[in-house]
Amino acid sequence: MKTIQNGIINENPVFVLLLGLCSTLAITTRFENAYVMGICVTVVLIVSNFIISCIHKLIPTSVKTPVYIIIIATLVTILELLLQYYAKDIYDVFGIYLPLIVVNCIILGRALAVASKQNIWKSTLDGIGIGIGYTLALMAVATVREVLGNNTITFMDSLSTLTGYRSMYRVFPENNFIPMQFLVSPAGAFLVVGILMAIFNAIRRGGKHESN
Amino acid sequence: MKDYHNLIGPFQKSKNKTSTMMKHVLIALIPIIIFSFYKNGIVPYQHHLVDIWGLWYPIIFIAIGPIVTCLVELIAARFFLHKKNNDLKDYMQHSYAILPGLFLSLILPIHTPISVLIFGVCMATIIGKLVYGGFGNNIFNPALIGRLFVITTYATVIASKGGYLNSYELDTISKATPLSNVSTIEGIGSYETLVSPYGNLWNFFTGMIPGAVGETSALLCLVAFFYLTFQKVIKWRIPVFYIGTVWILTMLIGWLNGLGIWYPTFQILSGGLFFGAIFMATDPVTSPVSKNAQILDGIFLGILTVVFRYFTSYPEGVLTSILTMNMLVFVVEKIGLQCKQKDKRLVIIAVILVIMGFVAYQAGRLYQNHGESKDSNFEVINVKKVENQVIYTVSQKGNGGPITCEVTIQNDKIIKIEVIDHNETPNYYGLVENQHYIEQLIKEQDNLSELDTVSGATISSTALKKLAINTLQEYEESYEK
Amino acid sequence: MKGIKISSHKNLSENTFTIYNKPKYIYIPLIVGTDTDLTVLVKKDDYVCKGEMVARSKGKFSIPLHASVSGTVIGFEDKLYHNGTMIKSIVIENDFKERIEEKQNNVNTISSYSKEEFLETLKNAGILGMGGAGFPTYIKYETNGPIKTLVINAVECEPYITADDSLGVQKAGEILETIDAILEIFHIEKAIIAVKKNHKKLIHAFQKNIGTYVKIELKMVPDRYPMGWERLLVETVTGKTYQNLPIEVGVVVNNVSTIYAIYEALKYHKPLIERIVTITGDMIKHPTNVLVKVGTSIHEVIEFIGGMKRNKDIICIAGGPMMGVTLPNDEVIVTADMNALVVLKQQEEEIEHTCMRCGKCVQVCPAQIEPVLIKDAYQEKEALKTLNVNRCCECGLCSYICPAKIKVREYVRKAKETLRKDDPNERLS
Repeated sequence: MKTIQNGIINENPVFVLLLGLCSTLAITTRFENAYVMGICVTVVLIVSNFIISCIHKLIPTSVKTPVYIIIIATLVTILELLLQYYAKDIYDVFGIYLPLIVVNCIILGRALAVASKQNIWKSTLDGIGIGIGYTLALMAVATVREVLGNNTITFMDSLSTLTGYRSMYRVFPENNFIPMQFLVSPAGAFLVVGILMAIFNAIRRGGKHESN
Repeated sequence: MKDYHNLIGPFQKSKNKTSTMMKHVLIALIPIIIFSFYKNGIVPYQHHLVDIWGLWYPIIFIAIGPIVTCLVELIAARFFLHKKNNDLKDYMQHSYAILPGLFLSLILPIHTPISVLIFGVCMATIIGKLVYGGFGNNIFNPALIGRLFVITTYATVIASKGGYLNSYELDTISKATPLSNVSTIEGIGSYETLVSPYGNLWNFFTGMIPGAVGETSALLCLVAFFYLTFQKVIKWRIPVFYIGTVWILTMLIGWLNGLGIWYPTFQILSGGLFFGAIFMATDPVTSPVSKNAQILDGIFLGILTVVFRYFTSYPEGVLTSILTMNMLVFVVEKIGLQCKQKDKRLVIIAVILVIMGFVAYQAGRLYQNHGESKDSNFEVINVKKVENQVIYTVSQKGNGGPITCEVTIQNDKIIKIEVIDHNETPNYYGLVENQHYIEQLIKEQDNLSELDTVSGATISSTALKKLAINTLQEYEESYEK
Repeated sequence: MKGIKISSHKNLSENTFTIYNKPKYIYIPLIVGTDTDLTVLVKKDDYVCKGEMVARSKGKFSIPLHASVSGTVIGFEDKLYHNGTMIKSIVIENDFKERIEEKQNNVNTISSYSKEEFLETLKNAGILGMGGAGFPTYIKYETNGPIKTLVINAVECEPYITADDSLGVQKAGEILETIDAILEIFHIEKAIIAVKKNHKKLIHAFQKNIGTYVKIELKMVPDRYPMGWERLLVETVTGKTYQNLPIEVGVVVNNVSTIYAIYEALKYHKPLIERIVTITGDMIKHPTNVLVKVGTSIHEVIEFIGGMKRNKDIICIAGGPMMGVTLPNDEVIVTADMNALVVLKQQEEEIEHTCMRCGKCVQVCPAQIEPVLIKDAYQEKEALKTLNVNRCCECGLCSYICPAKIKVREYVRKAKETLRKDDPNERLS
């Protein structure tokens, strides 16, 4: 349980470890994209952590990294094919960021740092924790960006081909609120991630100074 | 006798104080504030275009900026930095929070909604100043950061409420601010198209032209500049070299296109260049300290502004150049240190001259070919010949997209223009219709370039005018060979 | 224009001096420059004559220290030296007989010295820079290259100090005679006496006598601080700039009081045993210049001229307010290189605020370096290497002018420390 909490708060991949920022900035234009990406990464992370912690003793150190990448790439390809078949709209929206999960620093980073060192149970738990942390972080960024930048919030739109359910809302009344469109642009993404990172770390440390 | 051993000298100090320097800046701004009140409050009120609330609105607008900045800093100091009582008072006295807020109010358009102003002020204080550690530690000019946020986020809102033009100007002057006007002119323009719509160059100099709340009056900025230089408060090399470089470059550009000395004067007096150069670029915290570096800073600012004005359609030339050079201050300082050695100095001067020459030449040449090339915003969709008439279906880029029209030409003259499709804002297009602009176009088709556009719907009416001109030109080239 | 005008407060002490030459005890601090490792030539209960050598420094230059009165050595004590520290000193009880070792005849024409004799006389008389630098004078003349110009520094740019001024007014004739002699001995083309253009009495004193001296020129320099700084003075007066020492461009600079000490050494074979000290400041009742014997305790002299206005809440500064050092009390010993004691009211400690990078320190720096950039990088050796830190003469104008009241000069001093730390042999220019 503590491992999971650790993954969400003290070692949150986006706000503390600063990993996987590329997909964070690009994907979080809609709330739906964010949590779907989060789920994808979590699934890949858990399975890859599990597999790697099972077999890491069998892999010679010199070929460690390439082998991990092969494992992760295989998982991502499976995920890609599944999404392509079952949820084509999401597949189109993600575009290149789906294959880029392979080189998402979180997965390879955790593989090298945790999965190859801890036992199977701990690795899996770590995968769950980090994955949830990543998903929550992405959801937070996407909420800010979409609500303030576009005046909508999308719970389910592209997935509707899968679930048959659509849910998009306008948040503020249109006359009173002018959306800040720059938040949807990449510059706004950096700004939002930066500000949320500052707030998150300030609350986490509770005002105490921490050397990096 | 008390032991005063090892006190640190010197024991004679000058009477300079940071607070005195800031006071001088505030004093220098007072004439500008009064002028802004006159231009945006009193003049419209005299012409009965606004009520008593509109009379005092500029003063309120200018006052809100500094008040909100102080509040934001106070809240930040009290709750985030946990300063109390004397510490807090000392902090507030030495953070000089008033100035960024005041500057921000002065460089925003008059029709900025108050909520947007407050948003801009918060962004300016928080992201422009506090994030870096407060007064003295910021890299970027906070007022410019605030304006950047306001313009990128709320440009359309402000434009829809009237933009930069106050009520009097909306009524009398039919075009937008001088630099937006430049972007609608084909080619490099002439005295009649660039300057005359606003009066003459003296109007530009005193500031009776459309612009932001406080940045139009070059005369008052000059007065402030001399006052501040006399009081030894300002880094005078920066504005001198900034404005000088822009003047020289635009003079070269104008000379390449056969324009007289009014052209560089027009360029330096528009776009709020004087205000930006004298108050924003010389902000002590964000500008270089050594003499050579200040000269280089001014020159690079000038080059950047000219590049932004001529090679891009981005409207905020002065703002972007100043922010870019804020970022590059440490580079300029290093170059300035190298400048002290005679041989390196010559190399640097040569490089700068080459860059300036290159920029001027390229910008000048842009317009030399323009007269002959076709307007890229104009498109011929269809040509139909019916008996003795030629019916063109053409489109011209307007404000919101292409305006598609059917133009019927008979006996070498346009007899009918029918608008098939447009994406113009209904408010603006309504003005065009009310003025029966299309009838005017047909009536004045021999002298189309002299025809006025509709005030308040500049871009839409200009598009229609250009459509008529270009259709006629197309007809001439095809049929009158 | 380099340097700036600062208030000079020189009207407190007039262009005259009084004499205090009857101290009961004389203290000779055993320190030459920064070197405290001296050979002591006397011991307790020895009788010394006036002008007798009592100590000398070891090593190549061998600078002597002389007794300024005749009397008995009664021991050794730690006394306050003008750099603020306590230095072991020889204590001599004055017998008021002014006895000298052997009477020598006065030299009639001091230009009759040869080069070697001149250098020998200066060395044995212990003549050193009396403007505060304390550099042994004979070394400046001990050069192989030709000396083209002799510059006499009568500028005295520090506020409050009028020691050189009062000496120059009284002894202008002797000073001119000495300059002329040096010009002959060393075959120097010309001499320039530099005086501030508002020191009317001094200018008048020189102009009265200068007519007969063809090779000596009186040049007036602007009333700016630090015009008396060697580098700035040479540039203003001759237009030449140099790397480390003025002899590179054939210039030798001497303080005007040092010239008078040379006169006394050449004419009367008298070593450097007395000098004029300016005792001034808002807290001194009657500020005056006083001719005292080297080794006198300032405390007695202050009593002699009327005392202080009050004893509490004051600061005593050895030297001037810009470059001087504060002292714990007024019992400091006059040495040949101490030219003033300034007693001011205690000043409130000013709070340092954030640097707003106004650039004023860069504008006023006479060495044309960037104090604010040095302040930002005072701990980073690599960055400091490009900033010419060692050109700083510590004049204090950067701290003087700073509107945020930052002690900029201290940062530059710390920067010098940083540069010196790993490089003990690095030369300070």
